[in-house]
Amino acid sequence: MNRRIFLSKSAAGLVVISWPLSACNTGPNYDPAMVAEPLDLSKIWDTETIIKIGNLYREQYPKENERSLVKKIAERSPESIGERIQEDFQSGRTIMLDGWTLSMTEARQCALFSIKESK
Amino acid sequence: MHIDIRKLKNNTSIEGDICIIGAGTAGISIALDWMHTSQKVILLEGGGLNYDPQVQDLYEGETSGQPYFPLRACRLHYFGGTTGHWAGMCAPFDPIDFKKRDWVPNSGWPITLSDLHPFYARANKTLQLGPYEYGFDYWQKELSDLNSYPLDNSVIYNKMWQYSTARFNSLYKETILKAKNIHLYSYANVTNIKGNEGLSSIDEVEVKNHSGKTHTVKAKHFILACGAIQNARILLASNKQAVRGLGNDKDNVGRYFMEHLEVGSSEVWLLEPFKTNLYHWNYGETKASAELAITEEVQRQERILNGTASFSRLAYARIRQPRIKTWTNKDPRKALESTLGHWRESAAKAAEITEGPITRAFELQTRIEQAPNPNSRVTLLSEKDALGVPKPHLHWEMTELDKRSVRRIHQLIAEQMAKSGVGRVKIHEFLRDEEDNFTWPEGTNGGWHHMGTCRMSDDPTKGVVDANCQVHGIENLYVAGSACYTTSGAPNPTLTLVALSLRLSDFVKSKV
Repeated sequence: MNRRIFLSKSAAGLVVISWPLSACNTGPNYDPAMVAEPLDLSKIWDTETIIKIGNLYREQYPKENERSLVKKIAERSPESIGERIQEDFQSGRTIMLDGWTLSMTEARQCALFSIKESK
Repeated sequence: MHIDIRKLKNNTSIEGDICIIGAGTAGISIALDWMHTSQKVILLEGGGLNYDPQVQDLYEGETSGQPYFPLRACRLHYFGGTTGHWAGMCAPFDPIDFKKRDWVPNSGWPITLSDLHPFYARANKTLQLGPYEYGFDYWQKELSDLNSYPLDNSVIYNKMWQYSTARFNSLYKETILKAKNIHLYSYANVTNIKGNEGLSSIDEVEVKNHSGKTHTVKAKHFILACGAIQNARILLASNKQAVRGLGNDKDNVGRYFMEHLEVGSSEVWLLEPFKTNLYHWNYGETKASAELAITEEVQRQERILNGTASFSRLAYARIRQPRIKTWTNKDPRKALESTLGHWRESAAKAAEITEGPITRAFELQTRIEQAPNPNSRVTLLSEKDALGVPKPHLHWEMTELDKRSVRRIHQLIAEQMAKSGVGRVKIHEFLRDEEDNFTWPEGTNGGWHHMGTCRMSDDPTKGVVDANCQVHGIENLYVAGSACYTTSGAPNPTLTLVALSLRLSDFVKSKV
């Protein structure tokens, strides 16, 4: 599944996860769709798998909601998500879901995507 | 020269200087080493020069514990032995395999890898391999497109294999038959080994076959080279003078049977295509390839066994049945045909999948040593074969260290694949519960690698043979091959068993 397809499927849900900027405390170039897109995983997974993994994450962390997920994913900036994922792997901030070893950040992206798709 | 022993008169007595019992990989390797010497070598082969179902029946037995292949079908009982259908995979053991490891009970050989180096080089020639070079750097210069995944090589490195197409039956038959001092007797099954009164040396062996005749072979030195299951069986069955069998005062003969656990363990999905010939091989074509191995330092830190992971196209691996389910016919020829046929069909179906991320996904299959376990063992049944020898019973049993090690290896690979940006790994379900270190999936294979039943130890209470493969307490009886292994190492056993056999050969020469 390529990135373009992913974004077009997400487009309908943009309004759902587009919070007021002040609520998310993010920068002026913020694109909510980017936050919920696990770029690397979308190279190997279809949307069903992303949703499944997202749901599994949410079962393990039921207290995390859309707002907290967005904040954790784009902690520094949306552009640095890729870096954050690499840092996760380098420092051992990983999680196993359905046997997959994932970065916490990319697992949260899946969770955010699964929330969007459930609405 | 070759003599079909069925044609000799009953009760013929044969004499020589050296008697090698078994003309398989180990026995033939040793016999070749004695050519052009002044010694008369008696080479006994229980089967004929070709497959004979009546003789193959003599390998019948039973198994229990972890499911295993039919004993009749996992070895070949004729001149050339199991090289008749082996895959030819060759790699030396690693230094850690010979060391005492405090997390691996009963580990620690009385020899080191360095002791075997000169013999590995000779074994490479016997098996018609390339140069005695097994470093990744060497082969990357020699061959094209051996591109390595950019993993941290302080954790995971590329362990190299070479590939032999040697079938000892066709390769060495004429050489052995023409050797003036090698006397090959076919249809000569050893049914009993007889020692002197104090059992400090062996006087002769008794030989039988389906013609109903019995013969004796006398020699100054006797080398048992029938494979780990049969070597143990013969020693245990030679119990007229020692109730527990020869070399078995301390109840070690037959124990510590080890296999290589070979089991699909995880999937790796590459984020981008990666062009490489490094991790794949084709029989008869590939000179060298690699499997992912865990460094000694990490094995120590993690307290795990030595094992490797090989790559198989995921589309193919998902279709193909494990060997333990296809190699079920008691006729080894039919078992082979059935398995190869299934592989071909599976490959053809998998080749239809040409698009999508699955085209860059692989199943990672583990091959790992088995922790030495005294309860994993060969014993004798009360039922006897056509020659009156009790049939073997193999009880194959694992320990929790085996599964914990497989799990950890794939967790390490998952971490490294992700860190390097190469891909993501999904560990198979049977490995996910860290509390479960005993349940194995139905597709758990052995590699047809039989090891450890006459293990090597300096301490006669802990092993059957000493550092020279001589049976403790018996001055002229030796065991050749993988039965002597103290631990089973990560790679296929054949290169090492030939090396060890050549070392034994040199030792016996020093005594003659």
